[in-house]
Amino acid sequence: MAEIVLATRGLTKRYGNHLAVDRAELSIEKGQIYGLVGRNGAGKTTIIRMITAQTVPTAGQIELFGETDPARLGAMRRRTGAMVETPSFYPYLTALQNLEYYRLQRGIPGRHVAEEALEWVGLTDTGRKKFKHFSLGMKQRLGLALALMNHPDLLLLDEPINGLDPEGIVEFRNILLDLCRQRQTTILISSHILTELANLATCYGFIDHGIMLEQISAKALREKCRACLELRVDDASSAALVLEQKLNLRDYEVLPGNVIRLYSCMDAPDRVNQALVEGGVALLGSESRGANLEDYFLNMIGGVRHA
Amino acid sequence: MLDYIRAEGYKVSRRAYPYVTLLVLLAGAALLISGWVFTNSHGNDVDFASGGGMAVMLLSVGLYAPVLIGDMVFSEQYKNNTLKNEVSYGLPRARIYLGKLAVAAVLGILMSLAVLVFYEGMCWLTLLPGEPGNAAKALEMVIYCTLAALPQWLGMLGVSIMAYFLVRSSTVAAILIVLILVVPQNALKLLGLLVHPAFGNAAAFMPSAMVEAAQTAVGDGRFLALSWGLGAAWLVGATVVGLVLFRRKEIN
Repeated sequence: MAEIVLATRGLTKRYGNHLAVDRAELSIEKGQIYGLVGRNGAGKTTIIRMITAQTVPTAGQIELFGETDPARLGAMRRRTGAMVETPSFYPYLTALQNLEYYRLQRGIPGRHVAEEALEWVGLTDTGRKKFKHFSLGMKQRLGLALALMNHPDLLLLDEPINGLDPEGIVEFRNILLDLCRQRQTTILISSHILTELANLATCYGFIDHGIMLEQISAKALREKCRACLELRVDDASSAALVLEQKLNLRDYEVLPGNVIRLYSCMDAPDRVNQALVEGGVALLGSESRGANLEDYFLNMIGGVRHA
Repeated sequence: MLDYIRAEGYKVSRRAYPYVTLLVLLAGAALLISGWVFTNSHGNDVDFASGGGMAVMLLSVGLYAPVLIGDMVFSEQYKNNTLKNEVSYGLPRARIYLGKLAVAAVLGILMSLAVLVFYEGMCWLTLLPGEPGNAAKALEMVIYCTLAALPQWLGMLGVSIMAYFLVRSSTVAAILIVLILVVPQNALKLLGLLVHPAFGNAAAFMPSAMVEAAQTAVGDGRFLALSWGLGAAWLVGATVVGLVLFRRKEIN
């Protein structure tokens, strides 16, 4: 069984009468890129803020690298890198000075470390420019540089691609994929840009109204979202026999309620209809199906008007 | 902790704020001394003993310095939203709090020393020498009063760091520090007049009253011990309150 890097059990955060996160259960294995998906105010940032000790949970437990004792979680957090909401630094310091400050504070040895981190994110040419004069994209890059500076085993990123230009998004994606491949870094990333998340994540957690709705691997999600022709018939077992014998089809699944999903022959629905009718099976309905991450999420939370 | 203190030192030393503040204070001292020199050129005879001894009258101003020193070190962390970078890395909040307090104390002491040494040095160089015995007495008074004022400054620095950590707005925190310095002493004095003299007696143990009283207690070891005890009480009290409340504070 793969090592669990981060897990939450019954993690809850209440602000007055507002329940921001309600008994969230989350489990991330080593080397995974975990996409946390949810609309604004769903509780994504609150979960990350509790994991990073910026806010104290009302109830529940956080497990980091196998450690659950709150007194020892601090030491485990030193194995993480985090970028939560907008990157924040001292406005009167340059990029290098800001990173050097945090390097000293964290006791990370080696003066070259800050320069290396800037190199990783392509910020080596900012020179004497102070942070207050940075564009949003540059700030995002510096935030990532800080998160990477200690070579973390777990990277926590909250909306990290906000403000990045298309080129920056591609670079950012490549950095994360490199980290995952080369260093086996585990990544928890929350984003609104689901198409981008779909390019990265190996596992998803869907959250709405503070409740974790589902946790699913990217592979299982692809299976669920696979394009198919869904047939509703009067007798599924007879229909299956017809499909195998008359059309030589094997790539299908039978679902409850006399529903059959066909994953091949989708471009010739008329042939399928004809074969079923000839085989004495009544076709009650047929529909082409298939979804991407966005559709899947929207279906889960009840439609586009909520998103 | 040493890493944290080193980093805070790195940050503060790269701000213009401490240097500008120090320059303004030194310019103020220079202006005062040039006033003595000017009056001397018009027939007055302000010597080192009276000019240099005037420093003790200015020590009360030092009670307000923690407002600036605390601000320099805390660096508007709520406005800049930088505290999250520290807590998310797992740095203990006590280390964050005490580290900043330590750096603020060192910075405050260094700046006070720089201004005092500059002032006394300039007085020595520019004013009339006067009687050697008087000069020695004046210096003794300045040193004694400074030693008595130092714990009160540190006590107020404790209050200042507490306010900056607990109040999100630096301006509101600064106002709160001044109120803590001014209001209780005057309230006790008023209660002493209206309710019971004991309150008036208690007012004498407040920071600014202690700094002012030092001039009349030169050489008194018991007063010095009392001053250090009271200063330590302010410092420890404010730090304990600040630490307890900051431990569970939301960082956002």
